[in-house]
Amino acid sequence: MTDPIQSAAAIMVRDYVVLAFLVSLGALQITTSISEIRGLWLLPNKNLTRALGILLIILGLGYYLLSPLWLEGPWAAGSVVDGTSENRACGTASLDEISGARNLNDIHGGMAGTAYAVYFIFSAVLATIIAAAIAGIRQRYLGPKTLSSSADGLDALKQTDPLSTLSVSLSNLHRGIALDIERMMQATHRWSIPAIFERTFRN
Amino acid sequence: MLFINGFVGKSALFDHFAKIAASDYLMPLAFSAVIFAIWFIGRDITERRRYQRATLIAATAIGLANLAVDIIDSAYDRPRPFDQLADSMTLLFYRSTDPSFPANPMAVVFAIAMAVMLADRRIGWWLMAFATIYSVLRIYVGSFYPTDVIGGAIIGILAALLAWFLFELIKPVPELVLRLLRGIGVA
Repeated sequence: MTDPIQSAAAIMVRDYVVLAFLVSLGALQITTSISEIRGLWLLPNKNLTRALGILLIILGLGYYLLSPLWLEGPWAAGSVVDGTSENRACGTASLDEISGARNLNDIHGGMAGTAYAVYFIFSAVLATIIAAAIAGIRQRYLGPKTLSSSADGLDALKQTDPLSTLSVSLSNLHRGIALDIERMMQATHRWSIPAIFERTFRN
Repeated sequence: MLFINGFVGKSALFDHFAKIAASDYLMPLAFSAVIFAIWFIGRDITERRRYQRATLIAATAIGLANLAVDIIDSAYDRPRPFDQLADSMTLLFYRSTDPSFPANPMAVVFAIAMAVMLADRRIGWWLMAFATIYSVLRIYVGSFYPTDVIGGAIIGILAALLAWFLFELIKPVPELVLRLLRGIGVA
């Protein structure tokens, strides 16, 4: 027989990852549409990308807040008393108790603060990778031909696809890293620890 | 605390809103989404670098704030308001088992708000406003005393300033990290 706290925890993690993924992907679409980083757009048009971003965030929040109405979890109707999490039964929530359904203490199957942080990072990284993959496929095979770019990093993604960006960025990094470090050291404070180390070992 | 919590039950709709807005998932997720999103903001590399630095400072500040809260929690175990004032208040939230002071969620959201404010005052002030609303709602639902959230806010703000100072102290290491991330196309 499965432990009810463990099953509750698994449901909470699954749903939070879905929420964090959709919100991250939505936020990514909105900001990249503002800064015109086309290499991470899911759609070819700027306004459509922004609208999709807003839609993804609404979808994520809607799923997380409303899914207890049709998905079984530690929020059975009648057991979500005043939003507290003791003595929860498994089942679907009632509309009246939906606002407190997800408020679950970590000892009753909810998530601890660190878990929220870890799963958010995981979801945000996953959202970025998926956006890059979809945008890459769209730009290479479906969309207009990408321009060649000598810029690297996110600047290159404004003009070209993620794969070309990676290759240009790595090549620029390999060629220019030594000079970049030298410039960074010259621009730093006299009292910064790396600068003190550099002076000590140079003398 | 009792004054703010005394409004519970006056409006069922607001109580539903408070349970959602004061939750562990909504505001922290929104703040995390902001620090993730600002990574991609910026018209040019200089502006973007400023925001990306803010994301790194915010992440460091969250770690420092949590560390400070853990240290204080191990030295001082303040009971939660629902343990001490059970007869005179209404609890809308679950019974947290960790110490009441300082409020960990407030330390986190204020750390993020302060870190962002160092890069962009306008977004920073918005986040400060939402962090304050979150704090008041946590008192409203009966989870914290006002001094807990004030303590958490101070710890969060100081953690962000300390993270900023540490970044200055180890300069140019953060710039080098950003340069390496640019080398794989993500900064």
